[in-house]
Amino acid sequence: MSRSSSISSSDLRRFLKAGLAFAVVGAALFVGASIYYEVRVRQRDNFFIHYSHFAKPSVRPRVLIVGDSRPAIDLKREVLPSTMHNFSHPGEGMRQFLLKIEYALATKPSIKYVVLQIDDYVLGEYRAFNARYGAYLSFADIGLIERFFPTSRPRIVRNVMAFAVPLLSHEERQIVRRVFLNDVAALLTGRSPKKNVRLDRCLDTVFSGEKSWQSLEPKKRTKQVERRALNQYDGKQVTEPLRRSLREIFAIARRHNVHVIGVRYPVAPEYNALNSKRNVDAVRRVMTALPFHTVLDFRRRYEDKPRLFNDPDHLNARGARIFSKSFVSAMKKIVTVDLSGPAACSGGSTMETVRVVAWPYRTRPWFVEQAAPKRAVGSASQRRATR
Amino acid sequence: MLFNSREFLLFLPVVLVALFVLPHRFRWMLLLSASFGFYMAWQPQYGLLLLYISVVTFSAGLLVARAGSGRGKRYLVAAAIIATLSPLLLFKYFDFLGGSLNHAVGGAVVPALDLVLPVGISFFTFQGLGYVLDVARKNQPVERHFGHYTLYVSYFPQLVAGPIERAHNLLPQLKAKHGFEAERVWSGLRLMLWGFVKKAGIADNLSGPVNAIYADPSAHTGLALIIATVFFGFQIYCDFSGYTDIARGIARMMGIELMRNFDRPYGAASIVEFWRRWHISLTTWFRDYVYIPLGGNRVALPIHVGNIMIVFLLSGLWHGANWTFVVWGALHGGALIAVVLFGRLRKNVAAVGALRLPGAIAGPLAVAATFAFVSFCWIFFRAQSIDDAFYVAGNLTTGLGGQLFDGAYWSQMIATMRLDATEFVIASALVVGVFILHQRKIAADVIDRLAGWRPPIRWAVYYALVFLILFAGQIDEQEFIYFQF
Repeated sequence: MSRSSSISSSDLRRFLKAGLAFAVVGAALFVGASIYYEVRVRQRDNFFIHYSHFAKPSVRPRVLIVGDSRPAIDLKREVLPSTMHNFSHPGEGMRQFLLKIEYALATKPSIKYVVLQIDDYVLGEYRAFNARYGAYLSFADIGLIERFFPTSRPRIVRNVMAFAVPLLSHEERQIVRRVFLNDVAALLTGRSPKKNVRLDRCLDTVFSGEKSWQSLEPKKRTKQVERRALNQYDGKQVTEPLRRSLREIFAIARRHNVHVIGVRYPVAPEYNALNSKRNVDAVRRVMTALPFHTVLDFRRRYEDKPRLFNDPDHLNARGARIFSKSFVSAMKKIVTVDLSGPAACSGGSTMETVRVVAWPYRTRPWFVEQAAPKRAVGSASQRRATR
Repeated sequence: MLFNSREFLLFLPVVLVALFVLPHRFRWMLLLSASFGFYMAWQPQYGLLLLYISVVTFSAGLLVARAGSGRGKRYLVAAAIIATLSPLLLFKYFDFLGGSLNHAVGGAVVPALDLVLPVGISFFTFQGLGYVLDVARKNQPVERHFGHYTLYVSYFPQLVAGPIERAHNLLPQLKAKHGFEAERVWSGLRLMLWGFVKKAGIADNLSGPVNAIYADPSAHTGLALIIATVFFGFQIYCDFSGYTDIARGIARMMGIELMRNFDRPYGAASIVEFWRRWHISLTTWFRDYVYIPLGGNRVALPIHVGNIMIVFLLSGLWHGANWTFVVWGALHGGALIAVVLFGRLRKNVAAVGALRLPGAIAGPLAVAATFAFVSFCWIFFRAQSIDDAFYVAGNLTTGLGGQLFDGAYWSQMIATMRLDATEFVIASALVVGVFILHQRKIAADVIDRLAGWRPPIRWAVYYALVFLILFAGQIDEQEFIYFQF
């Protein structure tokens, strides 16, 4: 067949027309799937609910609490006064704390204190491994991401695209599949499965099906502690990218005249016993060199009360309520702002409904001016260390 | 470059558009550069290996064709075989043979080379070697155009995981003029879609539970081992036949028909039939270039039996340099030998009316027995070591009675497989669905039958399949299993 007949035939025109129609209908179905994602996944996502709640103008905290699952679970909104805002989320590390703190201080001038988690693993490889920032594009400064995350401009562009059109991301599609299957199963069986980690009526993070640490045999407790601690303290205790992120937090706090309070959270006696044998001098040296307003160490607060724990390093609901009260009274002694007033979610009431920030999701400019001079994305060796 | 990668999503349309735009005389150049680009995207230096196989087998073809007949020709063919197989021996078998020798003598006599195995080396080596042997037997006219020949060895749709094509089928098609034909392109796209469904929608979703159990088989017994093994049987089928369908679909869009590599293997009612339906291009390669030259079945019974075992041991080794593959090949060879030895006896037994089962029972029973045997053999194919394989084989029924009706065991097993209950039910349903499809003749070209359906229904099926791949598949994640061979 000659060249001209290959490309100008009516056959080709028909093919292209059909192909275009197929693509248009396919795109429409993709939009439909994206709407399903918006309604069934994003609107029920713990991270986005917390962020959207924090973004409300009515939320004007004086104390901001940032950390991973320990503060997220151990500090309850049903006890904390509305002047203290718990912005913690499970799995977060120092880089993610930095993004949140920068955003919070830039948008909520009411904040005068930042309560930062400084447990001994927060600068280690356990947390350095988490270099994800996709969800944080809802509010984070791209400049900070470039400086503190192991990434590059093309990767940021890909992440931004996946942020704007979530179903471009393989991971989000997998989540949609799981939610869809659960929805179908619920439709057929009438039983809807619960999330492992969910938010209660006060938007507090809770485990589904709480266990009692005390009811476990001592052998099993020791084994769990060993597994947990091995995970958390594997590799280097202090990684350079997380140390830099921590220093940047202080720099940002200084620019906003905000004090930083360091907190170590309660852990089970078995965890403390194992940890006391561990050399954590390097982490402590870093922390000591920083100008914390105060450091509150609650690690041994419940040494004699294993019944308050759900697992080696998280309190159960009862323990969290008791600890939250004790945390508030400790805070009242060290801060100069007024922390009195009712709890954000007291007396069996429910938090007002939170509507997750809808598409296009972002309400802030992508690049926020930094007072500090911008450094290069990082040297090659720094990049390697980050990875 | 993987068929299920983002790069390939860009690569293929560019190649196809350029192919139909270019005048015919330049098309082989385009396909040749695309094929080398496709291969070298993985490890550029191994492009030289592809070139080496092309040069050696092309030159061997010319020399063998000129040699006439007699001893000189035999020496030439032997030299060509050695030269063609040398890279395969070096990259794939040197460390295996050396390691086995070291193990046998109890010392480090042969040092390990630790070379990275070039992707698809066994496929393109066999394709080139097949051409030389065909020329030697005068079954194939010698190819005098080096560009066309190199394209035959390196043609990208089937380069890294087959089907292992024969020169008489592929070479003339590569030279022929193919214009744009919409129906052919649609048909190719349908076949590709079906291949992606098998690969991303089924195989990749079965790989999680299989890997979870086979990573540490000694932690499991009974049901978990059986389910993981059965899942693996369908994972490898969907993975490999999925790749073949994608390859055939791509080639079909260009106007080239590659051979069918699978024909509903799990519908086979005997092990002989299974091997007529599984990896057909390799089975026929061994038949034509090893089994028949050894004398096939036209020799005394002991030699015939020996020929079968040689072919299957070689087939096992072809799949991988590991004793697990050797045992896998030996098991299949043993089963075929048993068929040869006891075939006549079986016929006599069946002839006794009282022992003859009605067809409605005998047929499914034969399929089930064949499937059970093939699945048992997959244990040796999948296990990471010979010890693991024997552990799995020996513990398939351990604790099975108690496990079957123990809800807590099922929950724990499903969690170990990193699935939730719904996902496990779906994975099982997919396995059963593929097995049922294999029992029906329609299954061989089920996707092509869509062409005859009314457009709204046809399109609905297409969208369902596309969304299945997008939402249930592992895009850009998993390699094809057969790449490693």
